[in-house]
Amino acid sequence: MKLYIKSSDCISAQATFESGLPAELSPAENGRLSCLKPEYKKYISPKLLRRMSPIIRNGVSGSLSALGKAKIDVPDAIIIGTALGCLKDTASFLTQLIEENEELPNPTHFIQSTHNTIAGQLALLLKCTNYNFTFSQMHNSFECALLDAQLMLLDKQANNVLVGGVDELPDVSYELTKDLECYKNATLGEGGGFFVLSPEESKVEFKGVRIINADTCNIIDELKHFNLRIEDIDAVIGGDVEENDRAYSAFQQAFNDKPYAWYKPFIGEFGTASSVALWIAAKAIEEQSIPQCWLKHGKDTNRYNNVLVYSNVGGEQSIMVLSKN
Amino acid sequence: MDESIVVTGIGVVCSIGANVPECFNSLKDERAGIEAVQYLKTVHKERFKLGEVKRSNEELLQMLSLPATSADKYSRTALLAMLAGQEAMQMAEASNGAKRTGVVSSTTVGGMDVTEHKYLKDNPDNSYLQTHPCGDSTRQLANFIGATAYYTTLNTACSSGTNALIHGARLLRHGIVDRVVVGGVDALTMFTLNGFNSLMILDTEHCKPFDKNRKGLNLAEGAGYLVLEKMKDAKEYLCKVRGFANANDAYHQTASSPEGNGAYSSMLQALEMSGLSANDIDYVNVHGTGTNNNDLSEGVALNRLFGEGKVPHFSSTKSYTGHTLAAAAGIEAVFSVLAIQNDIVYPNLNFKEAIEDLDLVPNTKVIEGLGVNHVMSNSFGFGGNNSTVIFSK
Repeated sequence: MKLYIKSSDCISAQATFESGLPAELSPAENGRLSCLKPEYKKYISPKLLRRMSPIIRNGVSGSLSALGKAKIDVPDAIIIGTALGCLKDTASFLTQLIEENEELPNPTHFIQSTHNTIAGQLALLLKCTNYNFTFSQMHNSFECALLDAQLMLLDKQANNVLVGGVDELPDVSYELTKDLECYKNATLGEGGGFFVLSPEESKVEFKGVRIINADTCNIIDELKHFNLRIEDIDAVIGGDVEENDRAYSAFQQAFNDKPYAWYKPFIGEFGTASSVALWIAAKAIEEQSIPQCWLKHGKDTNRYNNVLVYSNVGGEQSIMVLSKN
Repeated sequence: MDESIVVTGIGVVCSIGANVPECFNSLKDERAGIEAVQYLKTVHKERFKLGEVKRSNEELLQMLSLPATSADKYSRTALLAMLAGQEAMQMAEASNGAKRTGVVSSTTVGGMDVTEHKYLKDNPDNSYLQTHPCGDSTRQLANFIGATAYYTTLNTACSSGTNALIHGARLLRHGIVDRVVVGGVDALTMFTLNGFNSLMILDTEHCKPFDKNRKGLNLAEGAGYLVLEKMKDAKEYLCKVRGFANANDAYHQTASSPEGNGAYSSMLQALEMSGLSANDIDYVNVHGTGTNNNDLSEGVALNRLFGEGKVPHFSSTKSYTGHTLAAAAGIEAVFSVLAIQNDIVYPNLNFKEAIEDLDLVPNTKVIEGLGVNHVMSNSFGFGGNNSTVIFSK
């Protein structure tokens, strides 16, 4: 059975929402890449919006936009991946309880601190009583959600699945994480990608996702799982955070003559950044073009049949492949 | 039948024991683990009883044969996961058809037990950023038991452990792994204690699930894991995983609907998948937190599914363990497997009077030799998340 990306949307520091691949990119401000805010009121009532933290607003708006494009009122499943969940509410609750020495902190922050608030709010808004999952496995959170969606569709347990990856970067976590060794050369960011996956045909076939926990990655073997060879790949989207990112050098070399796009310098590094990469890959195939500003290496060829997304953060690796239908 | 999924190992740690035999003895002897606070640092020490694992972090490290110097590497969450995960894997080693082993764990607050003591401190020690993410305890567990072929973490609040089982079963069916450790873990934290206190759903005495005068839940900690394999890969097994389902109540972020729609739906779908009929179920290990809202809603759903007066033996073992959040479904899955293995039905402690209108009386004493062949286990959580799993002999 073949699976397709029926629709997608992306919220990031660039003008990606309800849009194609932007041909112009704006630089980081104050060393970080915060999301451009969608017009939330289009998707969420003002009363609800006031209570929602950025991750819930973005998660809900991005998901509702993807569902709207696919003309689906109630999906058969909602699967969200988030590396760190609702950080802002978590930090608010924690701060209050520490500073006030456990004197009845505000329950709203506690209620909204659990990772599955995003998927839970979607279920409430859509009156969706179907399957509802939230994955949180650091840099593979989105990939795990995507894999669950893929397997569920292959098992014919659903005919369409809303799957998304989303994270937020409130001031408090920016301050805490900016100096961490593992983010030394990265600009921190936030946002997410949202997709409707289905066996119903669209322009973009979803070939699958592979999660690899190892020091190395044998790309030739990995591509065999998709019945593809290196020469079949028309573009690669890599998770490099800087010009000479050692985690990606061998990989980039294997595809030396292909257009190589990157995105983390423009949308930032965060746990579910690869969901944005998948959105870029989907757009590249839909539009048969990758604006030059996204390319780290090579030129836009206007011919994209197979696009590969590769992520590697500290040995937790993943490969996602999309093909033109 | 070859594609059937079976349980080949179980492991557990919670307030009533640090391993399977200890917990089983406590269950049989009707010994609850909910006691005065001994380990958790909180100003509410005198006010609440908790279901603590009766071991300090230092003792847990020793039990895992880890050097005391490695203490900073692990949250209490990770240590509890490793203890129960190791026990489950050791039991499963007897069934050695499988090679690539993965872990699907679940937790609600991850390494919060470390975070809450280091956050906002003047000393700029940000080491807790490593242990804080939910995925950390899972990665630690996977590395510790050598099950790194695939690992992931579910966080759907208190239903998480069963959802981990559902994802794990899917991985097996598609050959992503040959063997998978599934379940959940949570350590007690000031964060969750104050969170549930702010929601006013904590009982200051022993919780009384399904009792008319129930006042709330007792917060607790622990970990519970099952090892799952395809039947064709397993040399021997403890029981079969016959059915499971996840549904959403879509009613309220934290409360369950009065009609118990999500609970009814997850039980019904799990039953449909199992191919069993409602009267085949011999025992239901209910979610039964002891809160007003959960027990009423779950009770209504039980009556809807089985028919009034026809609900099978049921009990909430949270009356022994307290509510261990994401660990609850894992721990109760282990208890469900033990119920089948030992042909036993556990009592619901502290029950006196049935909830008005429901007319549902849980099982109140240990019953052996009933012929327990099919056990249903419920787990529900915030975000309207409802999950059910059915184990069969």
